[in-house]
Amino acid sequence: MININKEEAGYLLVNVNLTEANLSHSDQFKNEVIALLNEKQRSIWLNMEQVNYVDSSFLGALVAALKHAISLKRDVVLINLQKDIDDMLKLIRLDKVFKIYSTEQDAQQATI
Amino acid sequence: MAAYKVFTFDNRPESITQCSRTVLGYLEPLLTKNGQARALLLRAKFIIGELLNNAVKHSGAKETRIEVELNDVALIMNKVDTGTPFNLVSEIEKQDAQLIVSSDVMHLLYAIKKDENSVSFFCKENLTFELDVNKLAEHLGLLIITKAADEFTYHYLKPKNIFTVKLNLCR
Repeated sequence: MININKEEAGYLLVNVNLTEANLSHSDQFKNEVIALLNEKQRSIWLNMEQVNYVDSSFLGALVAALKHAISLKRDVVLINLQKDIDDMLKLIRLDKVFKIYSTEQDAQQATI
Repeated sequence: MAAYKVFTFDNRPESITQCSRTVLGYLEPLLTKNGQARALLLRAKFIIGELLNNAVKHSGAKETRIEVELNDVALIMNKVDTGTPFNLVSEIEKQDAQLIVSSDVMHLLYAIKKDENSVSFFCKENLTFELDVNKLAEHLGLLIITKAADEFTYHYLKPKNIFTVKLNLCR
């Protein structure tokens, strides 16, 4: 469901290998991200370019993962969001919660 | 312009994607033909997904009906089942009284009693919130429907639970 694309000193770039990120995947996704945070003790930048739909369960899993990251003084960052996903995040104002960037390079410039 | 179709959902999580695609596949040409913007279809997509999620998580029934009606002024979607009633109707005693359904640092979601068997949902945004991630809600389905819809109501007509979502067409 997720795989590490790149390991940097300050973050892991992680691909989300889903097109429809919904109730069927949310628990597993949350568990995998939290396990990765615990193991690597680094922020996770989620490359969302393959994801063309998210539902409330998946968004809840993202929020849970972010809470866990913050408790470890790390972060969960969203990269390469498709427009529909971006619109969904804006609808429920999660764009004010997550750091969102168009590309990894944009995220690097903003955060490192 | 008038169209009406009923879809049956088997309340299995693995069927959500297919059912959602089927309903949207029916709606897309109808809305496009009538000059409705992408935004309306996107809102419908969010709502259908959450109605199906709600069915899987909460209905307790084996099957859910999704009724879709398009008329000259609105797209109306009903989610109908005979499962567990939503207790909001009984919890709110008086007409026009309201109850907080959920809250976090950014939103308050209310249900207001419309009549003996119905509630309507609405949402208020906290515009001056100080972000505390630990105070964010993780259950977002009703909030998404409420914010994406122009009207969102629940009606209990024993033994039927009827969630109705209305999206006004662009004029």
